[in-house]
Amino acid sequence: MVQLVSANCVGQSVTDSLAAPFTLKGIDGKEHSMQDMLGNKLTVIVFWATWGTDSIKMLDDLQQLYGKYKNNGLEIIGVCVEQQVITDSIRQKIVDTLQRKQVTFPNLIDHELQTFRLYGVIAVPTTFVVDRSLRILYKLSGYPIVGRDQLYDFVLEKIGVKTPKVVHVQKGHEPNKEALRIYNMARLEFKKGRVEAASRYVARANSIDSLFANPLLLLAEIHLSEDNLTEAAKALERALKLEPKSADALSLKGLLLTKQGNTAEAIELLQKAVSQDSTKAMAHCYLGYALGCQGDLQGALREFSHAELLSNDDYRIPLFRYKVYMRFQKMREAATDSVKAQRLREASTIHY
Amino acid sequence: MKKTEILFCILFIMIYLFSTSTILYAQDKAAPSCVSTGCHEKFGKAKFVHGPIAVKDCISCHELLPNETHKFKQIKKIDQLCYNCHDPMNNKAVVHSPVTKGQCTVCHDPHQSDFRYQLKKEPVAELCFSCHNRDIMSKKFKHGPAAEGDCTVCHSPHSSDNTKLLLLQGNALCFECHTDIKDSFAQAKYVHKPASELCIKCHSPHSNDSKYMLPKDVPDLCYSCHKDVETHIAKVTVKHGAMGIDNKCLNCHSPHEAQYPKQLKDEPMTLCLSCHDKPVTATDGSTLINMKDWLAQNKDWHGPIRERDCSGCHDPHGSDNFRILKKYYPKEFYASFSQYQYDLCFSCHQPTLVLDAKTTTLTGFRDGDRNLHYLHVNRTKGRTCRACHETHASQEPKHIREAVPFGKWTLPIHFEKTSDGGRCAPGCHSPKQYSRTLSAPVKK
Repeated sequence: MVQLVSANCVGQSVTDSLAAPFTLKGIDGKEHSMQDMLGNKLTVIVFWATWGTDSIKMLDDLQQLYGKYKNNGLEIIGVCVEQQVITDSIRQKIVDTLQRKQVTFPNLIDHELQTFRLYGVIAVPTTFVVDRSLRILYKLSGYPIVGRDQLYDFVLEKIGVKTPKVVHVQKGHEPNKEALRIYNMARLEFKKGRVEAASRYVARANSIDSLFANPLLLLAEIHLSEDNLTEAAKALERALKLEPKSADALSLKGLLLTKQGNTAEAIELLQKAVSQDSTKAMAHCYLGYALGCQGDLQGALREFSHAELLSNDDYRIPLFRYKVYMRFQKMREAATDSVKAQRLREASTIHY
Repeated sequence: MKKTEILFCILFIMIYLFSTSTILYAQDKAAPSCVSTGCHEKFGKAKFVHGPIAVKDCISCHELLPNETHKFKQIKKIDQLCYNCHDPMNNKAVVHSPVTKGQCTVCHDPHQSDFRYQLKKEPVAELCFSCHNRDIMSKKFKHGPAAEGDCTVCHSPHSSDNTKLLLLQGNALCFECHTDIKDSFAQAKYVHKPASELCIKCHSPHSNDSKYMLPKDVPDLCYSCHKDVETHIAKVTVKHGAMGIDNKCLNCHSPHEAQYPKQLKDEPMTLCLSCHDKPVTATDGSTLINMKDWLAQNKDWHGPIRERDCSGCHDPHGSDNFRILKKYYPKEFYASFSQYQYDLCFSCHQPTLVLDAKTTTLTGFRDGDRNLHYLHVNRTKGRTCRACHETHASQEPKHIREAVPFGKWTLPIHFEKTSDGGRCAPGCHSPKQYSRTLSAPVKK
């Protein structure tokens, strides 16, 4: 049973309608059956006319598509719906247009506009996308600027040369852009060892967006790097108020507790951070450091290895392992890690 | 092992031994040194002190002349002395001029300073401007790091593999801080070509006269590349009001990235209706209706509106036609027949709709094979499309008007669709109906 898609079902995928088969004369004067012309995967049938401004634009675009993907199972059939009566001069005008536009996909001429009526075309261009079993998968009326791109995306996805783009939606607080940029600058400065500049930028980012936790976390990290535990604790407390479940914040809190000598609580907290988000390399690293400080060298090395698997270019991992080796008086291993940390730090400061 | 690694190991062991107080450094505090009261006493007092001075090891850099107790060899090759302990800084493709010349002490104080890395001045820019022209920062709008005088956020002070001693090449450098832009580019369907190629095609990295460090204001900046749009807008007689207000081009287009073609900030019709959601005064002084309300109240929409594409009929920049229409469309309801009167409509619809008296395929508005479009239009006192159709939307099928204005009155059309045709009872003529399967009209 032939059931055509309704005229207002436009610019969208349609799966429950069948395209009516048709046989028309080609520009070569011979009769061609649409069913004999179908592509292996997909066929685009476009109704167009030389008087339609957008029809001509679409011929250009379809020809580009055809040139690129005709060997990917795609076929395009042009149906020229110029007017009811096709005189020799009209036929010549159609041929001239196709030649001028260098169109190489097959084109048929709809004498008496029977196919135009059969497909319920009201405006040109009108486009149908059908599969080999003549199911109409997509219909587009006109050549709207968004609709045309959606049509081409649909075709490319169906013939398997393009995958749909997944758009990630940010969760939680979206930071002010200026604050984000200044925070990034602070992080770069901290990597370079320019602690004063980093601290200044962190303060600025925080003053612009006080709900953005990252500057506070970086501030805590800066204070921890200088063993200023009181200030680190203050910064962390503020960060945890904003993001109580943040694995980064919990990790730094664990490091702080370790540095304060409260390793048991630190290990408990860091294990929680690791189980919450096992992809956080620094949570594993700080857990390794805490275990090392508690005297568990094997446990510590296991966590450092895990951290390195997740991030093999972060200088902080060999740096903290160096500190653990030092506690265990393993000088050779400590020296190796110290050198490694230095080299990674130099590399991460992008040739400063 | 590499030389640096060996040196580092030695340094590491020295630091360890020093910090654990296992062995004190050979310089006995009690022994006379270069730094003592009345003799080089200022050294070692600044916030940042060079390592050897911190441990009072002046002779690691200053070598005594033979048989002298307080006369030292002149240091001729400063960089070589520095590289005895520090990694070479001149090993990349592009090397900062003082580094090339071995002039480390142009920027660094070899003894001490109140600034990190014993820099001679802070902020860093003050040091840079000792040699470089300060004018690059003289414009009104300044880039954040440059405004802070923090040149080294972008430039390496020693050497780099990139031109201008940049830390990274191209946009990768900008994206170190502008991670929001990097993320939005990665997720965007469309990225403005110059933005994807090089941010500095539009933005100065130092300072410039226009906001966002642009060299010109919008639209002049846009016209630097989009010459065709500039020419088009300059010559059209009816300009789109949106281009002259607020952010001009940027009211509709995103300069960086977009999820819609033509860098549109939103889906086209949503964008149009973000202004046309209230009566708007057109550039000719007339009032445009609240289109958002009109479309909400009238559910039978014209094809381009169904496709949410106002630009199907309107040129969003401007045109020579009424209501920035892309082609001619008469304001009037009655006009003598000429194909020109239908120029806009016949961009998409069959012109023979009003040229062929007979048809069974062109249109559903026919009585048998008698083409009723032709009958209404192709005559001396012809009707324009707007006589029967609402351009945007109506309550009736085929967006047919509910009423036609006639002088002071509005004459209802009373159109009704039937299974194979329709009927109407307008003020224009007596009630009539048509059937696509009958050969003659039937009068009521």
